[in-house]
Amino acid sequence: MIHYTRQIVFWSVLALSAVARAQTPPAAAPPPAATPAPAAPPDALPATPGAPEPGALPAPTAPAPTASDTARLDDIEQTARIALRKHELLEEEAAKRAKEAPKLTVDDKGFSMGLPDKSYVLKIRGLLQTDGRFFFDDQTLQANNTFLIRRFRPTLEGTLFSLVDFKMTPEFASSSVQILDAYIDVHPWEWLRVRAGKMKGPVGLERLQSDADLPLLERALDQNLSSQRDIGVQLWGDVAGGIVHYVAGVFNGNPDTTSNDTDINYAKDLAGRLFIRPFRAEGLRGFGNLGVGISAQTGNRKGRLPTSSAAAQTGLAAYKTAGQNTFFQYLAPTSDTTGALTTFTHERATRLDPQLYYYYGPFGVLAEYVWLKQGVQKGNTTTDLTQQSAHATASFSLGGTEDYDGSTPEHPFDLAARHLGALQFAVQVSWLGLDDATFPTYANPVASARSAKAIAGGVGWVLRRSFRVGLMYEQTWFEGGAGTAATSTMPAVITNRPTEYLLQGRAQVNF
Amino acid sequence: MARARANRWMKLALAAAILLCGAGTARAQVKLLNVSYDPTRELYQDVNKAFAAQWKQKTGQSVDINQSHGGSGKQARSIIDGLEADVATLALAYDIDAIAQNSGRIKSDWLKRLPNNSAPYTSTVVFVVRKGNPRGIRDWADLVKPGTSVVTPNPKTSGGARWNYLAAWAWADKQFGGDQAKVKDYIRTLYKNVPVLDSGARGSTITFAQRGIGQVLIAWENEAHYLVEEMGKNKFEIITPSISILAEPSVAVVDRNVDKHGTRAAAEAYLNFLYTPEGQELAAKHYYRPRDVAVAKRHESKFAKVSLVTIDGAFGGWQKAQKAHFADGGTFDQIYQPGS
Repeated sequence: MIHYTRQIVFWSVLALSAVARAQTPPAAAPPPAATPAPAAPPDALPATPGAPEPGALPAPTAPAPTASDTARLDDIEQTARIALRKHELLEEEAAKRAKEAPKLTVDDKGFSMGLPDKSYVLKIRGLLQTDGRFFFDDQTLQANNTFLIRRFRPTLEGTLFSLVDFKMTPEFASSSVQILDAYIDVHPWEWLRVRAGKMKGPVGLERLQSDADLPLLERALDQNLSSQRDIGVQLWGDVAGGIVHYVAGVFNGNPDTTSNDTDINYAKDLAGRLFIRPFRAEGLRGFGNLGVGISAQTGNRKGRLPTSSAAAQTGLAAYKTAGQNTFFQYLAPTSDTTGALTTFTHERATRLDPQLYYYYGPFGVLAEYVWLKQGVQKGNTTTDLTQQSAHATASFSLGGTEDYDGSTPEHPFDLAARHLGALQFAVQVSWLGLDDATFPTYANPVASARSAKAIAGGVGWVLRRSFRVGLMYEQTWFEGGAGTAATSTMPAVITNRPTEYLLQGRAQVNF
Repeated sequence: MARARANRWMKLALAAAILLCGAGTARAQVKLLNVSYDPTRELYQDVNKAFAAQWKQKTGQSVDINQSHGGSGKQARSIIDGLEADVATLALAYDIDAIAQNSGRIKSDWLKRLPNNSAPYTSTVVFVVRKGNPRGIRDWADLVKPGTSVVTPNPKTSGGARWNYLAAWAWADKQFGGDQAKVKDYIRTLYKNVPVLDSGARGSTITFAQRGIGQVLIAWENEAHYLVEEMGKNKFEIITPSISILAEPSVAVVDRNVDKHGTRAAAEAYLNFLYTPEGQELAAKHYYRPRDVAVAKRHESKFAKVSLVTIDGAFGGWQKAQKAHFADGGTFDQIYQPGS
């Protein structure tokens, strides 16, 4: 608009200037020449048609402008220049304002609006996973074959005055709506940030990876030894350009695999993580993304005895396979109204989790080992149990790159451009072993397995970062966990829980 | 077999060496952002180069300094709004005070942290006219003659423009014996002769020199020399008025930002460098009046002798001057109506 206005002004001023020149009164005629006109030079052009005949009176020459004419023209020229400059400044101002105006961005990362300097940003994001879960060779499990909504999580996140980030993610996929993430993150410096609210705790490298970015559709067995979410306050930050990442916090200490919103005892857990990414150093970025670290968590825990109106809260969780079937749980008979036959968490629970990943181009490896020393109590009996788990995942992307934050196609799906995205292949082995002392005092050996091993393989078609479909096959073997319970005359007969064969498919939208 | 093992060890050693080098390289990088006012581009280009060399020699650390320029008031507003400046080198102390007061990004004691009230060099206000001085402009009185077109930036956004305004005010105050009505009338007439108000000093220089608008440009002394030497040799002349003002551009570390970036040491050294003989020489080279007596003596001939009033002496300091003249509803708002 301004551009056209400028053109109009420019042409108007030119026209004005021309009119002014046309209206300039002729100056007084010069006095007649006192001497005869010089003869035309030999190479003078021939007389043109219509030109005065030789000897005729010369045509009057254009009068020279007077001083007032010149001043007037100068004024007009100045006016034109001023008008143009004003419009130039207006254009500059408009361009600057356009740069400063809030921007709406829509891409594979979601919907975002904010100021260009990102001091205020609001993002709307979402994760939807629709699954088909099927079991083979086990009629009991086959009864659970189902299509399901695995995750349905809209997310609202943003930044306020460059200093405060927030994130709110509810989960609609479970039977009741849950708050998954709800935290405020104050970040005065890169190296020191404070996050308060409900979040993923520091333990579990794979746990900390976004659900949407997992190479396989489900997490490995060691996810059973860390809480899904916890509530507390943590200091965290990146030092030396992100080479060193640390977390140190105080949390409620949610039981493994859970995402409770309140604590059931007064004691709190201390948790931390130190993670080194040496290839973030200048000059080493070409070597890929290597991360090595350790997480730890410790705290006293205590369960709650059952009451006439509420069941026992043991502070202990059941362990599940990728197919979400429980293969281990501590004793908690529903008929136990006093709590004497129920296993509760007791005093200290401590976790250690050495971890590493390495991503280089289309390749990725992630591995960790989780060690849990869990104090337990049943009646008057107490002990410390050591539960352990580990896993390793390798992934490869055909037509893309692998990283901790997922697989990225080199050419996102675009039919017109004949781009099909990337194919991601992944294999995973995982294991979880329970302390021998767990059985039979604290868990029933004919109902709970003492170990599980799983191997999984999967392929995903990553059309874009925002959309993928995947298929996973996982086979899980168990030691113990089935058989015949002891009777007054017969000892228990312990057999292995049937192997679980899982085929799972998924369509995922993540923006 | 043995060869394969040796190869493996060599690879490991190479990886370890790369890791160590990398960690060293990571330490050896620092980035600074200098948010400055309009006409200091050329000065800080030279300062940055000289400081980077000195810092590298002293600490082994490479320093990469980015510059941002604009009207001083606008730049201050940008820092208040979150521009991640490590140092602010603005046209006047008031703008740095504004950052300290409105954002807390600069500690309130900034003025006393460096010598000379944190103003490492000074300048003043002069006129630039077209070659031959066709309008015969010699002093402030000539700027209000009918038909004289004056170019100066907007005091609402430009620090330099505020110095221009106050210099004119100081002359009129003396001229009219302190008669405030006459002084105001003079300023009103002066700004009636200003056809375009740019947002910064460099913008006004472009308006005057490149767009050919106006007969006289009120400018920083350094900007006037820059114009004459770089933008139009033999096209312009500098006129020194009978009275001008001692302009003291101020500098400060933006505390909150340097602590966030981990750049405090480099940022403080950068500002201290401005006070070194080398920094002062660079200031003089670009026609900023150096504070260092020896350097000032060496470059005495470059700077015209002029009677200078000070902001404290003539206006009671920046806080008072700002409130009286440039705040909303102040004298400037009373005498200047856009388009009038």
